[in-house]
Amino acid sequence: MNRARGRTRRTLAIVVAAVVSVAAIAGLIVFYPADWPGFAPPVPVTVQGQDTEWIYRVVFTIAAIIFLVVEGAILFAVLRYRRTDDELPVQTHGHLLAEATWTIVPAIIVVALFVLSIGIQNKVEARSPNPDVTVDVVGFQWQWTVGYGCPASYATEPTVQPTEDCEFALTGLGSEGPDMHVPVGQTVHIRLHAADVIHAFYVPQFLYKKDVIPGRVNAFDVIVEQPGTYTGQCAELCGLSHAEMFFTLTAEDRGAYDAWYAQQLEAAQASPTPAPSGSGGPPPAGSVVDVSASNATAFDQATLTAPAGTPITFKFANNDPAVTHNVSVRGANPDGSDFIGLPLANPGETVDYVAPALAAGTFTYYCSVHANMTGTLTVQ
Amino acid sequence: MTASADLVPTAQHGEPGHDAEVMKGGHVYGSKPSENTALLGMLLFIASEIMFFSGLFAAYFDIRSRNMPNWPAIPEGAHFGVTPIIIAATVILIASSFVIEWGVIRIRKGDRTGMNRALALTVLMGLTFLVFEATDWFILASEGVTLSGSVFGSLYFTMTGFHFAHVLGGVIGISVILGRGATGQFSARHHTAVEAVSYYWHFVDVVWVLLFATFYILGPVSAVVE
Amino acid sequence: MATTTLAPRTTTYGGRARIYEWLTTTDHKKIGIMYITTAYIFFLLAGVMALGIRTELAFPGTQLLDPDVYNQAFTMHGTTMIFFFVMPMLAGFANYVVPLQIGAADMAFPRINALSFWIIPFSGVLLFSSFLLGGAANGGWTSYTPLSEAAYSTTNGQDLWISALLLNGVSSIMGAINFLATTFRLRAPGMTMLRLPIFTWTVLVTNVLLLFAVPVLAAGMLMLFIDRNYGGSFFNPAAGGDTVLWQHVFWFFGHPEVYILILPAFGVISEVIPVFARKPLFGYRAFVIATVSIGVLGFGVWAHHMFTTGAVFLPFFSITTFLIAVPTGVKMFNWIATMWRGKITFSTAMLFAVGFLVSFLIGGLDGAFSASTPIDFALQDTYWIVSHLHYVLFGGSAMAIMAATYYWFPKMTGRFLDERIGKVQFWIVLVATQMTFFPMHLLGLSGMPRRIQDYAPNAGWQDLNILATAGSFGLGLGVALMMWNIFASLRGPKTAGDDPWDANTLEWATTSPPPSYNFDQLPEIRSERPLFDLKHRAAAGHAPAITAGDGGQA
Repeated sequence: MNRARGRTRRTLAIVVAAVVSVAAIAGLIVFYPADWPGFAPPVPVTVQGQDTEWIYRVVFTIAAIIFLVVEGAILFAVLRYRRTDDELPVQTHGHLLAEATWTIVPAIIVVALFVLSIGIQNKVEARSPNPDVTVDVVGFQWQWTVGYGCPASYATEPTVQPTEDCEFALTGLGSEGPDMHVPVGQTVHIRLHAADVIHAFYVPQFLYKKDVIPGRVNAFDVIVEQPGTYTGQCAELCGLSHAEMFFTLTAEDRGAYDAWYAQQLEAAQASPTPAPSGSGGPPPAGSVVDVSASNATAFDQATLTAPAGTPITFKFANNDPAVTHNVSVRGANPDGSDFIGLPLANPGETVDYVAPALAAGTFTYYCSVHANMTGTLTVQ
Repeated sequence: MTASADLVPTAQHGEPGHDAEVMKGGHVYGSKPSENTALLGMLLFIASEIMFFSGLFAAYFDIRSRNMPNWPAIPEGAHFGVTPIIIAATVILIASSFVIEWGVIRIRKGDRTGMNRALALTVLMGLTFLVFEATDWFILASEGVTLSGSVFGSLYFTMTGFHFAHVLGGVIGISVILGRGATGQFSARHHTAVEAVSYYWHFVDVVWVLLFATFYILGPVSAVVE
Repeated sequence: MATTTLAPRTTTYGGRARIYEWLTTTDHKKIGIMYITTAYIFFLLAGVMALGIRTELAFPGTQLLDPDVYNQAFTMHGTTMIFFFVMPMLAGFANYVVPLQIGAADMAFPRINALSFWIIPFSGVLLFSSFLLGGAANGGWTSYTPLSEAAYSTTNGQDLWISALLLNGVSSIMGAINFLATTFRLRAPGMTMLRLPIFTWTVLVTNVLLLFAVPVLAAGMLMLFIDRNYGGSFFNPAAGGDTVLWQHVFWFFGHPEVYILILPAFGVISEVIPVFARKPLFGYRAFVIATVSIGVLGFGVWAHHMFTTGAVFLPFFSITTFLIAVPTGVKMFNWIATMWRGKITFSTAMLFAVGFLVSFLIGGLDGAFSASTPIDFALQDTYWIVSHLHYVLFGGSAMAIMAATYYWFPKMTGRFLDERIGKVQFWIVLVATQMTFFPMHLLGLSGMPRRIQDYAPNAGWQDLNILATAGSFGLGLGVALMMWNIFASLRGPKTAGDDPWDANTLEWATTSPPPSYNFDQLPEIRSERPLFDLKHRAAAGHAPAITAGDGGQA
């Protein structure tokens, strides 16, 4: 083959490949849908998250430069050094200076990144000696309980019962989970307890997560700067309904938070925990339907029937040795909202839930802790 | 292929008279793995066994540190401590290491009978250890320390249990070697299997010493400090 | 031993005798081929599970796999890919190639070698039997306690998982002992440690890692088994045990395991690139040092998987994780420098090697994000991690396995794989890899946790998930093409000859396929490229370029 022509062709190939690559990357950037997830993490809403975002941007920039340089070198080598003749190329076995360079320079880069990231880590993991608000979060299969005003002993007690010990506690019902409120601009100390398996407390906009581990209390401090409602989700595989284990976090200014707190406290005091069935509580009203559950996969009964026009008492036996359940009915309240059976039945307990009278028709009943547990209620 | 002049003929065709000893210490192409290879294999196996027991010991010390100062954590009323039978078992096992080493020394000198006697004695001592160890387990269980009763029991029975299995394996291995020795299969020159099994036996012995120190010396000491 | 036969037996005897020959063989080459075949079968099984997972994730809601089956699917996908595809696959290539590369007639312990292999299909069947016996393990390939404890994992799938992996581990340990003894004791005269081909070096370091890492996992799994079945409480915090202990034990094994899966892939690439660039590997010694230091550092990084547990000393594991990027970077630069000023022929094997460089770079750079603790807090357990590990294990290991298949197939069978199908397959696989795994970075970054069966329609994750699912079917197509290529080529003519790629190492200095005793004669070994030295005597060392002449082109 004519060597000069070969070289021209190679040069042409390099130019074409470079143009195509640049065009492809530029096209991706220009035409990438704005509402799709991008290269940046979610806009951080916490002081700590902003620090994390900064170090992310630093690492991303360096990684992007290395990426472009190295991929460029690969592409160049592949296009430029194609075999065009049978002559043996120069047999280079190595080059000390070059090899020393690409050992030492990366070493300096990674050590620098380490120093920077440890600095950020110390900021992100810093603890305030007296946080403004302390919240205890209990993760269990597959919901969250959020306790406010919990005893100081919770700082070291891994296994806790916020519904009994705290000023008030909210347990997630349905797939949205509990709505925990925090004040904006103040230090919130969050303590994490697990009731069964490992979960992880993760709010994407915090750029942070922490494992919720049985046998230990994990904690972190966070200052939310941006008011709003953020969705959090369990990030550690925890079994069947891992994907449905949500909560929301509402950040609002201190006044609104205090008002919310007072309202929750009042609600908790106004509705003392109903006594479990058989321990002197009010007699079951209306018609009685027996329901039970032995595990968190499904109710023991796939269908139930009840008469129309009279309150329905679900006599619910929780035979599941592991977790709490209840019986809730979709759209059963007069205002069209779901009837939620409260309190949750602990393992081994039997609890009566009195649902309002229903018109004839078909309803769905479910466990508000385990959205996957559903059945059909026929009212006739 | 070209340039066959540069090619070195290999010797795997096993020409009669081809003697591995000729190329002393060097590689002999296609020969059976040399005796050193078998010993190297045993050493590598022991290395992996060390990592196995390291995993168990790491678990022990992790769980111990979580439970301090309440250690050994055993149910109310249960009793755990060193017993005469365990001390006897320990002495016997340590002594057996010397016995098997004596056997190795004998066969290096070509004394087959001496080696067989030493191996037989080692087997006997190993069996005695196993019987004593099992007896101690029953005593402990009767005093309330069980595999499922407490995390200490889980650790104790798992770690000594796997050691027990290793001693049992060693006893079986030495018995096989003894059987081969009884039919005169070893000589001053060819006794790799004896060396290999002695390495293993020493390893099992060392593990026991560490187990003994961990359970009977470290455990009570921390309890006394309380 | 099979190698005592004087004349190589030809395959003129009947089918039954041939099957018996394969079932009872102790020939490292036959065992290697059986390893590779078995691994490809498990690759297909695990690949089908991956397609099921991707199909489920394409759209919000439950379409194909309900949550229970979904959890089993990704657990078995991960377990199978790691323990029954990549590990036996690389063990298979190592089995076939290492004794040839060092000029040995077989492994040090051929019968143990056969046993190591036969455990693999047996333990694989044991693992998969759980689908018929009440359900497979569903706690992820990491099987974190307490989810994997009897209270939360009620089927016996977890017990079968433990049993299968224990057996698999026994096979790995026996294999490791065998490889180490072979490499240390059976090298041909002149084959010093610093003349070992890099593939052999990476296999050597891999097997040291196996020897030290696998027994620790075995100890952990036995403790879990005792917890589950005999009332132990090792991992039960309520009874004084420690849940995080499992993670320590698992990752003490699990991170070296990552290097077990990638180091031999590095080795494959380090064989393929010099051959097709017609240059020696740039910086051979640096490469050896880098391989060894990755092996050593690999034991000091395990807790970077546990940054969010709040139970580990962050700075130590952060710096070791950062530092391990340095030897990895050295390798990347050395590969590029090997291609630099070379004369590159783009066979399918070389294309896959380049595909490896392009994809593995992304997986490697991802590592720097995870090494930084604050970034890891954000990214841990999201799809970012899924993306990272697939860039390393698919873009890395699987690409290298495909390169190895195209590269050594002629040696194993005497036949070429079809290069045209190979090139089509390469482009499909390369594009589909990026399409499948790159969007996962963005999904993870925006907050999609891993191991979820469903996501909210308004989460904004659907489009990228559809893209990833489409890509995964592209990968399925690529793999199907490869299977077709293998089957078709096995019926083709034996045109490969002894040294079809004009290669450097000893496996090409014998016939294709080699006789059961491997070599009639060996070239003198003066460097890591004995065959190259033989073909280009004057060019050996640092001599200037010289005409290749007729050297070895069959």
